[in-house]
Amino acid sequence: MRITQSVANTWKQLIVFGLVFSLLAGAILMIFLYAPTEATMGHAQRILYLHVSVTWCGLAACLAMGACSAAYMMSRNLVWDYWSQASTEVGCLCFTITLASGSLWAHEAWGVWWTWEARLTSALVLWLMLAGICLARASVDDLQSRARIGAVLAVLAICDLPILIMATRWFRGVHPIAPQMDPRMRIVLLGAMLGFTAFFALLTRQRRSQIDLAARVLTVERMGE
Amino acid sequence: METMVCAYVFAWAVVTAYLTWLAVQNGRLCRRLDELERPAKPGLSEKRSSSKAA
Amino acid sequence: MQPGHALKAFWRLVVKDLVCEFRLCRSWPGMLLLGLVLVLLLEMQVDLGTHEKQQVVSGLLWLDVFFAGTLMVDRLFSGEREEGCWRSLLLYPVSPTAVFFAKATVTILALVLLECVLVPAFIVFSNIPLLRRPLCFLTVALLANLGYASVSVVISALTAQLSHRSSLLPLLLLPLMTPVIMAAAAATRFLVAADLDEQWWRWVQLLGCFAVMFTTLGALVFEFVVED
Repeated sequence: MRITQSVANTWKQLIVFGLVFSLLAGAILMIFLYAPTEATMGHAQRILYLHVSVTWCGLAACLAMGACSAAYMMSRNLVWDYWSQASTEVGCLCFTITLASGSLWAHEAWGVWWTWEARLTSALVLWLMLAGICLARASVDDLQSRARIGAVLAVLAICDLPILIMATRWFRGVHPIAPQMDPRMRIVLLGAMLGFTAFFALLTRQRRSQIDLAARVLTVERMGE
Repeated sequence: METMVCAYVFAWAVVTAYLTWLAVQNGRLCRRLDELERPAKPGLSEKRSSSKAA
Repeated sequence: MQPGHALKAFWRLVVKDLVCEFRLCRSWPGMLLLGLVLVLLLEMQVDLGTHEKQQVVSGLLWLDVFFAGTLMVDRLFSGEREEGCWRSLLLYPVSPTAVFFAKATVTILALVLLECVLVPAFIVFSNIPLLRRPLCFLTVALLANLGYASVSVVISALTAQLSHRSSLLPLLLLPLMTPVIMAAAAATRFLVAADLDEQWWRWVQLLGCFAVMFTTLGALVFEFVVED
C-alpha cells in the first residue's frame, strides 16, 4: 500500500514538473521565436518579457510572505513560517533578476544603468529588506525564534509594497507605466507571466518541503541529544 | 542583442545557482536523516539485551 | 488594563529609562559624539558651492541622525537583558504595548536631543539655513523621529535575542528606514530652498504615512516579538 502510494506520488510529481517545465519552455520559445522585434529598441526589448514576469512573481512572493507571516503570528503553526521563508527567498531571487534585467534595459532605453526614481528605489529597498530577512533567519537556530523574527520583519517589509506598486502614479518618473503593445507582444507577455509564475510557484513549494525536512532533521537531532 | 543575452544569461545563472544550492542541501539533509533514523549497530543491541537479561 | 494604569505604567517606564541613562550614560554621550564626528567628516568632504550644498546638506543631516541613532538603538534593551531584568519587565502587570510606547518615547527624546546638537552644527559648518521655516522643520523632524523610533524599538527587541546583534541591527534597520530618511531629506531640501509647494507637502504626507504605519504595526507586533 505504501509502495503504491509512493509510486503514485512520484508520478504526480513528474506530471507537475513536466507541466511546469513545458509552460516555461513554451514561454521562452514564444519570447525568442513568436514575439515580433520592436521597432526602436530591437532585440533588447525582449528583456521586457523577463523583467515584467519576474517582477510580478516577486510581488506575488512578497504578498505570500506577508500573508503567511500574519497567519503564523495568529496560529503559531510552523508550517506557515516554512511557506513564509520559502516565499522570502524566492522573492529575493525574483527581485535580483528584476533589478539586473531592469538595469540592462534602462541602459538600452535611457542610456543610464540606474536612476534614483521612485519605482527603482523602492524596488532596491525591498530587495535589501528581503536580503536582510534571509540573513536574520540564517543567524538563528531555534525554529520558533527564527519564525518570530522572520514574521515580524516580513510584516514590516510589506510596508514598501504599496510604494513600489503605486510609485509611477504617485511620483512622476521615467519608469514606463502601461506602454502600448502589439497584440502579439501582449500574448507573449501573458504567456511569459504564466510560465514564470508556474516555475517560481513550484520552486517555492520545493523549498518549503526542504525547510520542513530541515526542521525534522533538527527535531530528531535534538531528541537524540 | 548582447544586452538581451546578458539579461537572460544572468537570470539563468541566478536560478541555476539557487537550484544547485537546493539540491546540495537536499542531499545533505537526506543523508543526515538516514543517519539519524538508522537502527543501532548489531554489537550494541546485543550488549543491551545481555544487560537486560542480567 | 485600565487606561489610567497603562498611562501610569508608561510614565514610570519612561522615567526609569531616562534616570538609568542619566546615571549610567550608556549610549547617549556616544551617540552625540558620533553625530558630531560625522558632521565634521561630512562637512570636510563636501566642498561645494552654496546652491549645490543646499541640495546635499539635508540628506547628510538625516543620514547622520540615522547612523548616530543606531548606536543608541543598539543599547535600547541591553540594560534589561544584561542585568537580568528582561523577564521581570515582562512579568510586570504592564501590557507590552505600554513598554513599546515607553521605549519609543525614550528613543524620540534621544533623537530630539541629537537633532538639537546636529542641526546647529550643520548650520554653522555648512552655512545653510536649515531652520528657515522652524515650524515646518519641526513637523518633518517629529514625523521622522516617530517613524524611526517605532521601527527601531521593534528591531532592537528582535535582535536583542540574536548572537550577531551589532552587525544585524543596522542591516535590518537601514532598508526599513530608507523611505523615512528619503522623505525627510527631500522635505528638508524643499524647506531649505523655501519652496513649500505641492511637492514638499507630498513628501510630508509620505513621511506621515510611514510614521503612522510603522507606529501602528510596531504596537501590534511588539507583544509577539517579546513573548517567550
